[in-house]
Amino acid sequence: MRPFVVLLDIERVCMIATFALTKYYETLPAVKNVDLFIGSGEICGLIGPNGAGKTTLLKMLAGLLLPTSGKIEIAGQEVGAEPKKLHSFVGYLPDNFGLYDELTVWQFLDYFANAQRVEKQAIASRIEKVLDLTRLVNKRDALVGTLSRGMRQRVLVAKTLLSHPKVLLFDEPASGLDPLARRELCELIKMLGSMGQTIIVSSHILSELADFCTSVAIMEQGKLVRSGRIETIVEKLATGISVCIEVLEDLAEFDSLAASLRNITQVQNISLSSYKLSFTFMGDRRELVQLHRELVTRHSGIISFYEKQMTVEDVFMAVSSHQTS
Amino acid sequence: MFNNAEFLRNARVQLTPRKMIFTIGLTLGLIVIGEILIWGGTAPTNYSPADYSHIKEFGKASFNLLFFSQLILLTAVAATVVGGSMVQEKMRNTLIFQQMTLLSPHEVLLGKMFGPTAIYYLLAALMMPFSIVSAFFGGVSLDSLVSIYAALFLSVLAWQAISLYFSTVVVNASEVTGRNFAGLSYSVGGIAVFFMSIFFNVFWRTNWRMEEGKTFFYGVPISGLALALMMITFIGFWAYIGAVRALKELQLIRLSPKTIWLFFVSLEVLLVGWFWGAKITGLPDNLTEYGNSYYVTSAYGLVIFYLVINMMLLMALAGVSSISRNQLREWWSGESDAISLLKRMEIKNSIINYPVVIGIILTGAAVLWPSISSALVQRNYSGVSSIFLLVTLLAFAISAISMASFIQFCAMFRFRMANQAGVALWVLLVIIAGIATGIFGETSVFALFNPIVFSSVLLDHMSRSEVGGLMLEGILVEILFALISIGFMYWKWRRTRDEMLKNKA
Repeated sequence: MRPFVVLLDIERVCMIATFALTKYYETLPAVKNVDLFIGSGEICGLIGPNGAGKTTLLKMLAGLLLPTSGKIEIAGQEVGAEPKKLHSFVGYLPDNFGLYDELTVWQFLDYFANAQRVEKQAIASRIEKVLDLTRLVNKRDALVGTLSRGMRQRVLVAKTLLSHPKVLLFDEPASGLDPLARRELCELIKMLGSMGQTIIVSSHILSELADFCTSVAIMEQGKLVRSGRIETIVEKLATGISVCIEVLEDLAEFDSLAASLRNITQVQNISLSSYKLSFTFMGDRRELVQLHRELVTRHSGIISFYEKQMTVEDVFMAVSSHQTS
Repeated sequence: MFNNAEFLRNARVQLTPRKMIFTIGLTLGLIVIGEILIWGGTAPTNYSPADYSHIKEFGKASFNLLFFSQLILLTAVAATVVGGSMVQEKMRNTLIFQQMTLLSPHEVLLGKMFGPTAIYYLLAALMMPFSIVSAFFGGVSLDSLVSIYAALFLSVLAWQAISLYFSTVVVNASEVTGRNFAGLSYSVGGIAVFFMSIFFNVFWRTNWRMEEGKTFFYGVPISGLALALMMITFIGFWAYIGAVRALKELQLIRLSPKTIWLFFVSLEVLLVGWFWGAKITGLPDNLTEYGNSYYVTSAYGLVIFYLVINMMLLMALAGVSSISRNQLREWWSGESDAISLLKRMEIKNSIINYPVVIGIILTGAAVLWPSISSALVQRNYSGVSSIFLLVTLLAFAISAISMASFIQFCAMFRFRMANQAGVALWVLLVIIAGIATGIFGETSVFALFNPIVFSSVLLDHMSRSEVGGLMLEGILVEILFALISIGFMYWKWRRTRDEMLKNKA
């Protein structure tokens, strides 16, 4: 396997690379000229509205769909040339999946351990390990068909982890899960990320990605609008410092503070909402400290004054034209 | 097999201890009840326990019942179960596991063939001791018993492979085609029982494996059963290989065109051996009462039959390897220049496969022809000039090219199953040409368009003086039709591309 280096935001070993990747369904472009580079150990959020081409892209990365043109390399291995080899280190978890309901969790994992060529003597310990990771130890003898959607999702993750994949592709993993199961899944993905696995998670629910993604790839109408590490994108997008001030429930104080801000030339885009002011400060951080000191001195009703971090949602809203294909 | 994860998964569900005890108990119970009923049914009116004929009758009837039960279990039930194996994966949304599995396609398919059917094999094996004892009492000879079970075993494997082939092809097809043909994979079991009942009935009645000297393979006399088993093995083996290719396609593994070439090579080896001229020499001498040219007609019939079988398979190949409008539109959307499209593996394979396969068929015909010609000489008829062979084969090759072009022309239409429609239309054209032969005469343009009719007309006119003109006329008609088909195909190809580029713009 040939590890290769592509210049990302910083120079890192690239685990997933696509070059002018294109997929047409007849004449409809589902994915068009996508050049995507994801470094080893990243958790990348693949964001886009429905029909943006996320599932098509993931299926091509998993070696389940032939691209119309372009090239994909995962860990230096070209997808399509040797799909069997690729399947030993890429795990794909589809949005809509079925399981062999008539088997117990243990039998199900035993089948996949054998199918994935795990060494015979290591099978039992490997199954124990993935059951432990996915918190399914007490369900080992339960029939897969009797499990809840969240549990089934975890069985699928456990099955995928059996072969130690380098890359995990999650397609809308949280769809259909209740809030608790969703929370548990997020924790699981975070834990897998901390174990050094490269993960792509596609979703259109942005808040669920914000927690654990280290990078994002934003798709719209089959095209990759923006991709890279979140802090780099934020840095590029930021045209000032986003600040938020919360004041006491005193209308006079609130109006007076708003008036003061309007008189400052470095303050732009002021928005007011229920005793909370947000604005963009165009100066540097030293000047922001100065402003903070002045406002606190002049206005006694200020409860908090803080710099607002750009979320994944903010990034998406800033770069997306909000169109579906 | 016991290391095969797919086999074990299926067997694990089927062979649970409780299920096995129940099924084995039920089967043994049914056997005992059946035997008691047969014993009563075959008893003579004046019952005598020492009557050997009663025991013989009982043995025969009992053997028939047990054999038929095994036939039903292993063909109808097992083939139907196998037919559903891949379709079920799609219906249960688990097909992705088969696409991404690290098991080889052979492991997956063998697991699916024998895993879910293990219980039926077990039950059939359970009946075996009873069958052997019944056969012994019924006076069935040992070699008849061995032959009939060899035939059953081979044909069961063949039908399961056919079932598996349909099941795998169906899941690989588009959503609509898949839905339309899903029933087909389930119905193989029923079709199997129908054919196998006829097969074993004929076998039982005529005991044809004993009749040596009637069937030949490359001139060597063999039993009819041996030839039948050879055919069954051929069909089963290639159905299995077809299923492997369909699964590989599902897993996006590149397919080698050599498998198709090997299929045709093995087919021609079988057909040439079967139709070998010794078949004519082996016929009884008194058949001239059916007409002076009986042996000549039989000999030409073999050549025509060889060409018909190959033409049908070429038609199927053209239908399967034609490039659809949707595929072309997708590829042109990605790379709109015509040259880069021709570099695509699918198009390259189609272009290479066809002439290679035609070459294999023609080589087979060239090997077969001299044996038939010399057999006729042995029967005191004049031999056949090789110029007839050349013209017949040339007409076949030209017609095969026009057929492929016509089917490709149809495949580029907007219909969902345009390639199948192309095959159906071509069959219709050939039938119309056959009917026209009856209306306008066997040397009319319509008749000569059909290469099979042309070949038979040619062989029929061999001794006449106008044969030279007929040969030229026939070849010209074939060339004209080929040019028209190629022209249509090229026109539709250009039009599809222009339409696509216009839409894109």
